[in-house]
Amino acid sequence: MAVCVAVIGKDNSPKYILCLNPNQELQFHYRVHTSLDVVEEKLKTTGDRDVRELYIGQLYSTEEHKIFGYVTNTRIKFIVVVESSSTSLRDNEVRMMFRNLHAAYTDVVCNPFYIPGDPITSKNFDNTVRRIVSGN
Amino acid sequence: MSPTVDSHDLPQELCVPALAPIGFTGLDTLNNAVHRAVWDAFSNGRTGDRVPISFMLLSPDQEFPPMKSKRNSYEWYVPKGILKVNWMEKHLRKLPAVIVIFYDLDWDDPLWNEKKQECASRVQSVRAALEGRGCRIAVTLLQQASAALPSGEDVMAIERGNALRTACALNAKSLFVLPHGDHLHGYILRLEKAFFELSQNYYHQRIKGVRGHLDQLNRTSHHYLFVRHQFKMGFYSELKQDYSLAHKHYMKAYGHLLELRILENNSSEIRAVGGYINYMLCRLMFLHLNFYREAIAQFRNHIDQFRTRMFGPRELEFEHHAWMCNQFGTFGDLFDEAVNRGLPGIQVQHPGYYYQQAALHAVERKKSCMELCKDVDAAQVNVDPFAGWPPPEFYGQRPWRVGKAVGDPSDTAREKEGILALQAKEKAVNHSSLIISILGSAISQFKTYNCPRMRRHLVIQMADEYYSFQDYAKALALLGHVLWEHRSERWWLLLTHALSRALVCAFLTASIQEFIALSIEALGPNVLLSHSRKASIFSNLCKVVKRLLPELDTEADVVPESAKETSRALWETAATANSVPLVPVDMVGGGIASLAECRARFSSASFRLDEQAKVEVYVRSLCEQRVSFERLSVVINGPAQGPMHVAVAEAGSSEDDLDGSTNLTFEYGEVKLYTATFPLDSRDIGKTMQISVTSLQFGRDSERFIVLRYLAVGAGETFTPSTCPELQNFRSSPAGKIHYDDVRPLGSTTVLPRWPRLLVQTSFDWDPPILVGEFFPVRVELTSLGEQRRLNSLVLQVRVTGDPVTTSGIGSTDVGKDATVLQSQKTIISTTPTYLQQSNDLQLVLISHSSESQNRESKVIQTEFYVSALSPGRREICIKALYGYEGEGDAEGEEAETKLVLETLDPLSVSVQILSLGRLDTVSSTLMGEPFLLVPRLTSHAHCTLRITSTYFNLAENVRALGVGEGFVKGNQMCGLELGPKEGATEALVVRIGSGSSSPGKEELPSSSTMATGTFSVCWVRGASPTRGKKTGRGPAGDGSQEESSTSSRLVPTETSVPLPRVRVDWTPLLIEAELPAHGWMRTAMPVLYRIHNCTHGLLRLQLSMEASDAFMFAGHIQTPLCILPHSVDTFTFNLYPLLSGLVALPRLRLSVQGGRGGGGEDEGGGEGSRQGDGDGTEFVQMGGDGFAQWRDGHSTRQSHLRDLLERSLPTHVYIMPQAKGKAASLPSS
Repeated sequence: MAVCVAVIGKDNSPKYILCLNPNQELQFHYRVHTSLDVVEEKLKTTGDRDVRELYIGQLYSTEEHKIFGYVTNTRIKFIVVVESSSTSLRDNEVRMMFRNLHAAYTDVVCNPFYIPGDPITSKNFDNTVRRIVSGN
Repeated sequence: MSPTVDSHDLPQELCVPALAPIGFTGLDTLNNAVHRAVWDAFSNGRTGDRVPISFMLLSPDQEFPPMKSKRNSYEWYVPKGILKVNWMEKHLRKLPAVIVIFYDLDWDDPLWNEKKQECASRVQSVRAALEGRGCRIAVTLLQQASAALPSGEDVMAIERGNALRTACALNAKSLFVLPHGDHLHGYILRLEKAFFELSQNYYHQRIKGVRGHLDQLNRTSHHYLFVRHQFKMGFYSELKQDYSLAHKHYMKAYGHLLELRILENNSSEIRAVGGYINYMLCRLMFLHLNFYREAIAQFRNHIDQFRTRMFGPRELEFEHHAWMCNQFGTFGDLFDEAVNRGLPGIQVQHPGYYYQQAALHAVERKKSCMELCKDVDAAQVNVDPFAGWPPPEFYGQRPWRVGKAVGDPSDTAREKEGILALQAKEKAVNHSSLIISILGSAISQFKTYNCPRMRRHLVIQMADEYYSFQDYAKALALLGHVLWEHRSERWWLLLTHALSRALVCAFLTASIQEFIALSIEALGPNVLLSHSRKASIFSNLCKVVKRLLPELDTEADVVPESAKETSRALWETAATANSVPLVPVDMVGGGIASLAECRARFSSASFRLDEQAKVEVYVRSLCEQRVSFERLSVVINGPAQGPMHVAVAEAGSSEDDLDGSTNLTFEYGEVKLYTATFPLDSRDIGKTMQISVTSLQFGRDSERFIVLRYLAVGAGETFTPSTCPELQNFRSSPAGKIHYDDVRPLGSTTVLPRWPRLLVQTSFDWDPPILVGEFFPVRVELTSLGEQRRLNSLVLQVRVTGDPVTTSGIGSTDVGKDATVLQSQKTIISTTPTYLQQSNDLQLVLISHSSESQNRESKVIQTEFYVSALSPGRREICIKALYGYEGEGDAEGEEAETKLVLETLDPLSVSVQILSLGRLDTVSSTLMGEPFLLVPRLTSHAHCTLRITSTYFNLAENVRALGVGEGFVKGNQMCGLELGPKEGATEALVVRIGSGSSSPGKEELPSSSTMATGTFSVCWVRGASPTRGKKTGRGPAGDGSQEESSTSSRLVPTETSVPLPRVRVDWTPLLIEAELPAHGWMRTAMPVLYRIHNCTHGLLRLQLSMEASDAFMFAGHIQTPLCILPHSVDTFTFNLYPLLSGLVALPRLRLSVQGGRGGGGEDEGGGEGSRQGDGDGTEFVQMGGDGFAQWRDGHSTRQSHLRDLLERSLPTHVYIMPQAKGKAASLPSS
């Protein structure tokens, strides 16, 4: 389903980025990085947004990719990049993906050996994310 | 470099706004001023509010494009292309919709007929030139302004106008009059409108004509014509300014276009025309119809339609990218123009995205071109490859297919030649400058729409483009901006990408400063470069420092040889150049963590002036290679001294420096601590010093050296991430090493005054707490702490800082209450144990500047002061010594102080009782002249023994102490008594109020009054106590015996006074006193004496009786009448002979009031007397004279008074001792 998943810290530094295609890693880094502009803008105009709604929807789309965002209450951002050609993906599925991602991230933070703010190196998390990405 | 003109750009005629052309003829603008003015008025100032038409000045012999011969049937007609190249040009510039013939002719022109003919002939010639085209012809007569009359009134005008019209064969709406005069502009505007209407008319006609053609077309061979005709109608509608109609036709044209079958021969044409129609559509929707969403949707659809299709031969793939680039670019331009006209763009939908896409395609185009055109001979590049070729007749047609229909076969050789020519042409294009200019537009858009990261991404792309263009300096400058931001956001992969590129740029431009800074950053742990690359970067860095030539690291991107050559030459000059060897590198800004990181801190948050301030610098190596530094220093900012360089460590010049204290060589990850001290300045006292910069020097002074500057605190915690620094403590550090992450920064310190050079100590001779009222001596000892110089001045200040605000209720006797009333100040500090100086602070000048005191030399100075507290509670006393030494500035007022906390106790409580003398009962009232006892009872609350030195009563007036006198009466029972804690003592004094019988006739007191009796005072001193001599305070224990003598000499008694209770004094007519021994013996007679005083001024008659008692036999009157003279005493003596031992009741003496006649002698008791009372009362009054004047109550009252009097005055019992054995009973002697 997705081709890239990223966890971005509240200071906008990347904590975890998974690219299915390692050759395009740099490109996806840029893509995720630039999508933060939109996330920031959306968070700025958060006034009328329901604070309980963490999913912020599609950030933008290009010829090849659609980018979706999700921001936790602690301003951790999840970014999912989906290929534009996969039209079968429904909004609901994207939401579900984010929810699972959030749960997995919560598990990481609950680990007492993880220092919040550090890049995530947990294998468990990596496996979970790969499962989420592949849609299982 | 300006972008070269590209064959894929939109044709000029497409881009200009479609305005209906109006041709003017007959205006001689060169020679005729009036004509010139008219032309200028028409053609100048064509702003938006004027009619959308354009004007062209036609020469008298203007030729118009020839009309094509009409076809009778289109059935066999095969169009060779879609849109003719010259068609739009023709309708915009060459063929006016309206031709206006200007002619100078007034209605009353004398040569009217001739001129009319001339005008008609001119019209005729124009009409002939048009050759049957449907252009509208109009005639405008230029007339004198004054001649013009309101139309309709001038009969001649109407008549001549009609005549002229007929002559020229014009219809009614095509003849105009333009008076040139005052209101030229107004006339012009009206004329314009009329011309515009004519042009609309004309285009309407044209559209109709084209629509007529449509019916004749067939679907098999005329696909092109469907597109062409719809396009033509759209274009005419646009000229007509009917935008929605134009939109409709263009849409249809576009639809027809998409239906066309794409073949290899026509692909280029379809693509080109598709782009044009799309452009026209989008322009209409953006700029005229405000269908923004539709415009974007149309464009999306357009791109989708054309993006994936392969147009043309593989050898010309770049053309496709060029076309795509052009599509996006022009759409971006349109979008931008719409935004300028008020369309609000949003962050995710703005022109920037289209420019970005355009740039992407431009890059693709470049790539494709580099791939496909690499074989093209460079010599051909500068000549026009199509110099000899016929120009294409249709838009987008290949040059080698000019004049051929779709179905016609191509000439293969010619085609090959053409492709080569196109490739040659493509190779001549400066792609980089194209890309850069598009990126520039995109960057400015993204900046406007608040997308800093996207902008950065584009900047990097731009830098890449400059890089490939071999403009390394510009690329480096661009990357420099971006690095900082990527670093601060910690996108290491992106940083690495940019850094690696920037490093190569810096190498190729040989800019030492950048090359060093970038190399250092690249060596940091966050940069994701390979170890081998980092190693080569490090060795390069070392080479640069040693002024050797660095080498391009092997893993960097491919660099042209020429650039390498240039850079080598540059490095050679740089190496030999006599430039400044210092290269500062700021290690701030998001924290370049590389080579080493430093944390400098003060070892303490404050330093004394006489100390050396200490700085600790922790250095951790972050370099994977072994790295050595030359010098470590810290810049400290002090308010007075300014920035101050403190060298912390320096690599020893001698090689045998093995202890490692100044060894600045680090292995990877090693942490070392260095310390340095520096002196403080007295001007900085009370101020803050800060570490501003820590510098590490890499490289030797003699060659070239790098100074890594670490801005310390204040620039914030640049090292720890912005997330909670507390969490960093959880990071595990290698065991047994300095925990670098745990080092808390302490970037500032306060300079405090030096440690006091005098020690202030206090000691007490007495045990605290203080007792209220006493003068408690406090000894102060000032000890010099090793200072050799002589004291210049010394002032001791003693101040009570913590006075109890409210008087506490401890022992709330009269003492406490009085004390609160008495004192406004509750504590007195004095140099003498007297109340002479009543203040709560004290200033003792022990040494002044002028005095030649002995004290100056001595090591220890002692002095003493007294504290007297007037109320109980806790007190704080601050003792401060202000001093200065000889040879030091006066400004430096040093001080030393100590604080005393002293509790205060109430030493004594005194309660005074009043006892009746007769029965020793507590009474609250007394009788005039009756003696009574004043009994003060002391209780000690002190913690120590109190010695009572004396007590005295200060009796009030009218109060006399029996047998001693009046006024000041010394007590004697307590004198010299020592009271331990909680012990008590009692004093007694017999006094009487009023003189009784001694001063008859002077009793002026009322019958009953309350009066003060005076005060009681106790003088006491502290007695010897077992804990005597115990010290408090910091002083050393003194010599006990010495103190004994010194303190005892100082013992000043403290006086505690309490008021004696007030007592009610009743007047009484008579007083009875009994005088009997304290005890009697069995069967031994004892005399008892009763004295009865008459206190009145009259004669007193009473009946006295003595009741019999079992315990006594007695001799004396049993019953006798009394008659006592005024102010005299009658005495009765009885001899009692005790019969029983123990406490036995005395025989009761009874008195009753005697009647005037002396009757009632048998009246013994109160019962009898009361029965006959009424009659007696009157007699008393008559007989008693003034003596009884105050006793005028009834008989029974008098009787009860008497009884009360007897009861309180006379003892009831006496203690009889048993008879001693063997002692004979003796009768009473009397």
